[in-house]
Amino acid sequence: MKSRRITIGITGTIIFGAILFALNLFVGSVMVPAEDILKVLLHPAEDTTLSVIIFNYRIPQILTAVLAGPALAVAGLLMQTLFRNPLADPSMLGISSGAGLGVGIVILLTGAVSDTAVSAFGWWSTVGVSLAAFTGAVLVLFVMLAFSSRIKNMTTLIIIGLMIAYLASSVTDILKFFSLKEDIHAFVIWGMGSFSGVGASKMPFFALSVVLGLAATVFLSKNLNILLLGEMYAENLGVNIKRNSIAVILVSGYLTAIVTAYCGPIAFIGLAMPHIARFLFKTSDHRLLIPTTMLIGMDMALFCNLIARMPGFDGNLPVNAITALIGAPVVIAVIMKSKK
Amino acid sequence: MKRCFLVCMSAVILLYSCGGNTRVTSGESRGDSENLMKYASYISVRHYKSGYHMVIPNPWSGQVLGEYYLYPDSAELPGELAGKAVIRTPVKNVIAYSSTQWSVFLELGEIDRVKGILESAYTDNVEIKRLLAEKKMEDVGTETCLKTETVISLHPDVILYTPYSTVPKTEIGGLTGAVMFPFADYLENHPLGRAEWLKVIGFLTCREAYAEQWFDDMARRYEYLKKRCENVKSRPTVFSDLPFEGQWYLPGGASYISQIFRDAGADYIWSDNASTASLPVDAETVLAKARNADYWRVMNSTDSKFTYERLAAENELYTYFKAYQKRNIIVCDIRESGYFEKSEYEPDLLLKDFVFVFHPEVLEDENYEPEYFYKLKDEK
Repeated sequence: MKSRRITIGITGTIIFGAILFALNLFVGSVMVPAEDILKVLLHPAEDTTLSVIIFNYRIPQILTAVLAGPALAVAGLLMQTLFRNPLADPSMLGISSGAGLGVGIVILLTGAVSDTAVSAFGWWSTVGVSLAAFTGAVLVLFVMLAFSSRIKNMTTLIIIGLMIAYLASSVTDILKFFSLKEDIHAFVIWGMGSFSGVGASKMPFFALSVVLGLAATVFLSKNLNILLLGEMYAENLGVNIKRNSIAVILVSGYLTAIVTAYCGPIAFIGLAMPHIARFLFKTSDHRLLIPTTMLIGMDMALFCNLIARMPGFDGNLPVNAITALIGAPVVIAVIMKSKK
Repeated sequence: MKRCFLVCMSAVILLYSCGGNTRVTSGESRGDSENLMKYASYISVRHYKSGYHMVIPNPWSGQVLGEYYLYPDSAELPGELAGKAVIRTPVKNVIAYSSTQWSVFLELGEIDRVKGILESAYTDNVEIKRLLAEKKMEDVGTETCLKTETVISLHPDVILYTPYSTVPKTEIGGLTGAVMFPFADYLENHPLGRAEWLKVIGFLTCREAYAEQWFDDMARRYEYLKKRCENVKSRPTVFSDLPFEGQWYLPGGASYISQIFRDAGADYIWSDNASTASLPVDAETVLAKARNADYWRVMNSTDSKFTYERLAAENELYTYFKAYQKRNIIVCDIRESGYFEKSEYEPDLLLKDFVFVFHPEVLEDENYEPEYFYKLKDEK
């Protein structure tokens, strides 16, 4: 009975994902007959505006969603298990804010110190911004690691994470105050989150980085299951809790940093998707939860990207507005359920 | 850059002054109903006895945003103006929110009346920097973070602010007793309408004759050049700006820049659009509509020069546009050219820059040096 449920569930999410993938490919703000798109897909060499739209705009965006969704969702799952807190996710630990601060320092301080906007560095500014997000995230991660080695209580650690998030954004705000206007504009828009920032040329590096992180989570599933039993119990089983926790933090932090560097902070996918996976598959076994959370994360990112691009309309919405619209009710439901 | 026509006008200026005592005539004899603003649609100015009556409509509600009486200091204030928003001219202590305001004071030689400006860090103007260094002018913060105490200490009589659709922040007016004057220049969609706001500063400083001459000369040059572009053989197509994270903020079809494109003998790809504000447009829509456009206007907000290579490295999508491939990108280096400070009052030069690119045959002046916008050359 259960295995049947699992098979149906997994097949369903894959089919749903495939449909969303196709919809993302076939609908956008430019409405084109499906057969024209099929023709372009079959004859990719032709240099038409439609082929540029498909290969250089829509497909990179879809691939970004396909990679970022699972990465964020599984990072959230890892955090929730590690902290045994259904509301934990990378943003709760201040990692997203750390990434934001890293970007803030590079974008805003470059302007204030050298009087030259970082955007003047062209291609290097993209690399610089990505690297800054990564550095910021990893730095916060190490601070959290230092705390986690001293603090046994996971709830306290979450509160510290939130405080670090506040600290990071307050430093960012102070930097903004002293910065060149044009850079603030760049920073504010980066803060909105989008799947369109990767583009075709940066895609291989982004894809490789995410896939490596996702692969690493598979090796963690057994240890995560043991963590669920409780720290005392796990220690009795001979599991090195500290080393285990560090591995989980590193992997989830890495995934968050990569996605944040390329897409900006994208909220709620990490927080809400693991709950949907648990609800659908009625399991807490990470060997099943990890792949299903990834699949649901992918579906959700594709769905949000589709809605955000508002097929048939000229403009697009910030993707975070859509993730929050779907994610926030899930979080409220989780809280209500735990209160019962 | 000094404008020679300003020098030529000095004689005219000497003939006029609005001390009030020389020009006190009754309102009726001067045709009070005539609006002294010819192009601007967000302000009307009419003679009122020895002074002026200004009405600024609220662009969002259609009601009135502000109604002001400018009255010379030297003349006795008519009794019926008691309780009205009266500005005694020439103004003495002004807080200017925008560089488009203080740049007119500079040009009129009245900058000593401006005691406080916003966001001074963004200006490269030597004169302003000197005044700030000598403490003859203060930086009063930013629009969202005004240095209230500094503003109060400057005893302003008028605060020229930039009205936005949100409720204007008038608390500072109450604290200082200054008249809050909404400077709605940025809302004007005709280049000459926007430039005409310089006359408002002329009225405030009693330099209206000078300001009017300045504006009329500029308007004449603009209209002349525009007329010459009306019968061009072909009208190239043009689009504008760069995207960020997939979203392109394009000027609306009824916007300022769209009007300049039209007057310069080009067809803006989004000219059908009725909006005056910028339109958020998905990158694929821009690609679909503007890929074959002849020209592409971009604003360079950084201190370093644009190059075609740098644009391609920023986003490979750019390389698919015909304007990119044909090396037909038109750039303005915002900081270097002082675009935000000066261009509003040189619409004739803005127009000429574009005509020089779109229709060089129209310009007799073969050796024209562009002031703001120039065609980006291929460095290779």
